[in-house]
Amino acid sequence: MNPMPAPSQTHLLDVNVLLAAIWGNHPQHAKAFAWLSGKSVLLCPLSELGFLRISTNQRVINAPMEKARKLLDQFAKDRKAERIADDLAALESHPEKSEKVTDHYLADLAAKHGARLGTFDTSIAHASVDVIL
Amino acid sequence: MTVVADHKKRVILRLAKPGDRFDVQVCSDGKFTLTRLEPVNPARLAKVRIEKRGQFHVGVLDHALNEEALKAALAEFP
Repeated sequence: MNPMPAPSQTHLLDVNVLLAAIWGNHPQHAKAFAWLSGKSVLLCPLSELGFLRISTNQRVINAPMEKARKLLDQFAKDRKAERIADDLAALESHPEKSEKVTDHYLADLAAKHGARLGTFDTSIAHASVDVIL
Repeated sequence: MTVVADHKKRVILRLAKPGDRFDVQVCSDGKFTLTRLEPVNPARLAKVRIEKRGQFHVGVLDHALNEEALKAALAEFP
């Protein structure tokens, strides 16, 4: 008897996954691309803004804003991503450290929407996180 | 130090580097005040090509991604 297939899981994407998935020259592009296969994707303003900010940062990628926006829009269309609001109050998230405030918020936001946070960050201690290894 | 203008009214500032920019103030008593300005660094925007890989679009940059800068930017966000 075949085991029941696992239900498909919906993932909110962390900024690091968005960057890796969208930029073909990113060192983790292939990994992100493979991981996304067959997954349902959520995007939220916080992670989208992070993508735009870092993609257009002079010291990092320095892409023209127009191109970064176009790629993000195309990614959302290609992946049939659902956009959710950052509709969790900041104080409903309980990070322990300064540097984990945003990561923890995104994981809590994913949980609120019945999803998990997909990330390359191995340092987020949260039950709703899937780390791409 | 003394500098002498040449026939094209140019003087040489030995301590200046090529490309340095100066604000020049000409005072009524004939004094010139040169103030070195912050360098202008017009970082060239990356050229981005949008390619299709299978059914998905990806952006391809004309330069390699600086992993250290990327890590630093992610650590700073937001």
